[in-house]
Amino acid sequence: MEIELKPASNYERKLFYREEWDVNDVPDFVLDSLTSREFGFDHFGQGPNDRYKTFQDPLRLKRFIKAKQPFASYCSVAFYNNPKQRKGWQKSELVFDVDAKDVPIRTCDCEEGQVCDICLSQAKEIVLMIKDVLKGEMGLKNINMIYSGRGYHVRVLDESIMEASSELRGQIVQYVIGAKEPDLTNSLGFNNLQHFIIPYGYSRNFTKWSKYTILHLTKKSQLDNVNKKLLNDVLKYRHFLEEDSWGAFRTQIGPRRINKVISAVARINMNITDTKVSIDLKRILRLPSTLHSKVSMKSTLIKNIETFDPFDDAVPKFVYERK
Amino acid sequence: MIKTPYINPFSNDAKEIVSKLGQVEKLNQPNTSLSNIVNHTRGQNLSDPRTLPETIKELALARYGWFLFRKSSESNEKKYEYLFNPDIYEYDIVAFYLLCQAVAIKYGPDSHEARLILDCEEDIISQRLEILKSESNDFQATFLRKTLNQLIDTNNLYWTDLKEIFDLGKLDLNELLLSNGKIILEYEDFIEEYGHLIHNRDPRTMYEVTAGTKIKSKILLNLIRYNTKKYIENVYEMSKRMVEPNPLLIELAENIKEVQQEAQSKKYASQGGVNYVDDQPVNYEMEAFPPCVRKCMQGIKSGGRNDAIVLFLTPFISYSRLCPSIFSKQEQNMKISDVDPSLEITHNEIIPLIYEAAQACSPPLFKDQPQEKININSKLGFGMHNELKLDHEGETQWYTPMSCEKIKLHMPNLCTPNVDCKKIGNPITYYNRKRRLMKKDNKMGQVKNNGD
Repeated sequence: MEIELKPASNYERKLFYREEWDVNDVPDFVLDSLTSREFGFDHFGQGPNDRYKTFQDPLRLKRFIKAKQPFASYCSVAFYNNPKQRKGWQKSELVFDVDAKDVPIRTCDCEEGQVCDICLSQAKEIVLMIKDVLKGEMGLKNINMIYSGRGYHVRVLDESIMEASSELRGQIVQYVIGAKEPDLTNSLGFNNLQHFIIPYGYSRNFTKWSKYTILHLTKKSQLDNVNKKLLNDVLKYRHFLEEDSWGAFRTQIGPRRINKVISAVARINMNITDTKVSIDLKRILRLPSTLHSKVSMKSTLIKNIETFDPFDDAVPKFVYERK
Repeated sequence: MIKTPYINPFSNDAKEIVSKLGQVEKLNQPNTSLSNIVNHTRGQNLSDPRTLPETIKELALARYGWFLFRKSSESNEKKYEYLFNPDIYEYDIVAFYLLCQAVAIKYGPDSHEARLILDCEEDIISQRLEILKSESNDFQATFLRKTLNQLIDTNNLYWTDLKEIFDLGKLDLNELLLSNGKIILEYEDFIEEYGHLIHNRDPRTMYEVTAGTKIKSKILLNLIRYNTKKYIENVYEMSKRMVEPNPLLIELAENIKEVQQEAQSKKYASQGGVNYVDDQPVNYEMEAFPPCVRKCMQGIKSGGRNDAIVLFLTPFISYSRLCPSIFSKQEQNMKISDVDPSLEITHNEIIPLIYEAAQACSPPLFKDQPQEKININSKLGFGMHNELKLDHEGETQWYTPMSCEKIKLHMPNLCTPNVDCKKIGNPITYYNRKRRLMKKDNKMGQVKNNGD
């Protein structure tokens, strides 16, 4: 059955919260810190304007959600001494928000603001790459992946980074998504060093993301400072990157023009996640297990990202009953 | 031979030196050994004996003077050559602690003076590390390993251990080699981790190019800066419990202020009428606006309107009209009324320009989010109120213009750099530089913007 990402009716929403939603589906990492978090709700589809909510235990959260059947539910990434007033900030999860509708290198024909299975699977690929860096290079362990309804959230709860400042989070994001051109100046005077000849560290990460971005460019892509001819040449010769032959690619594009391409690619990479979400220490994020009413999908904690398919694992029952 | 306390004032050796030489009553007494080192420093300018330190207190002041004057026309490195004579390390350490204590007690850890001390220490150590480069590679490697290990364990260092260092804003995460959270600093670790990936290239060279001395020096410098900051904070906390500080420290703190004022007046005197020292209102030169500001003024099409108008444009438009030199000023906690007492310019020029950009957004910003008008007032320093009134000023801070780094994070779409952007790190610096160039070329008002 083909799943249509259309809004849930009021009746369907009520049905979902009455019959399907279970407070035990809220992830443990939220329930374990319930009393330290701020909750927010959108009751009428106009944005989360019922904020500063707190719950003393899962039962009260359950009662509230069952009774209100909200259009959307959120909880803070921050832990507070006094969440009711958002005071006494203790720490925050580190978050990466990959919204399929905002992926800058979408290869599908979706209209602006829409998502389809192609861009959703692209968002999943990106999330996997993010996870690899967080785990492999950064050595982080408590990494949770959530399908948000129209994309993915990566929520990291390692104690060692939860007190990180907004500035450090900015740096982490830039590292993780390869959003900054590597600085290859060095004291030995090698002034023609290229990121792709360094098979480790940030250069390797940047090369990996740049490859991903370049391989997903289309004729319609718009890159700062890159004209149509240069874009066409990039598309023409990018097959070299499939075998990691960056040297050959660079030769074909030319040493000056490749600098323009790389700068533009770094800027595209910056848009792979919503950086504002990552650096905001007091953000609220969609509560996993609840309904994304605009697309009739469940926000879902992912147990196995390799096998996760939103069209199998995040569809509320009422969607199958639609005529 | 260079000793580690010459670079690192926080080593155990350094602390021993302080307990040996740091008796307060001796700090203001002529010290023959110190004078000998100063007088026998190669290349030292000895023509004016009054400028040569004879006491440790004078040495402390000289350290500060070197830093403040080095960027002015008064700069005369030969006058301070002794600071870079490795033999001075024992007296230098005591002078360093003396400076920190004087500033902590009199001005506190958040003062402008405390920031200058941090910059001063960083500059001195950085220059000394440059001198170290003339030594053999082996010596450099051993010396850096030893000095750095006095502060951290270089074989077991995780990036999360350096959180505070990243917050200083001088070290980037992407400069480090990371593996499973560990920072690869030593050559042995480097080979173990990446050796199998390096083909047809010399591993030692690859190590030096991507980590090696450069990154070790950088971490060392930042750790010294961080420890200095912490030390000043500790002294300040302790001083609050002290009955009365030593008069010598108070005297030194006052001397520090005098040197600062002297440096300030020389800096401005040397700039004459050529440079811009705009700490008062100047007319807009819109041709000199950077691309991001221009883009924002044309209106933001979708997403990020609020941040672009409120957080980015409001500070830029207000400072570029009222005080473009904000970042070169000593005092940065300014209020709009300091430069526009009647708020006439603010009401008649600044607000209309911001509102015009807000109106150009799609959809117009105030149409669906009228509360952003209050946010604009708040970023101008007038609290969360509907109207701009002097009575409310100071309830919030007048936000300073956002740096390019922050713009890239908050509003990546706004940043479409042109050739001039490479030379600056803040849009207001771009503006000042461009105006200066325009004036120099005598092309005010008719300059074409490259790359726009």
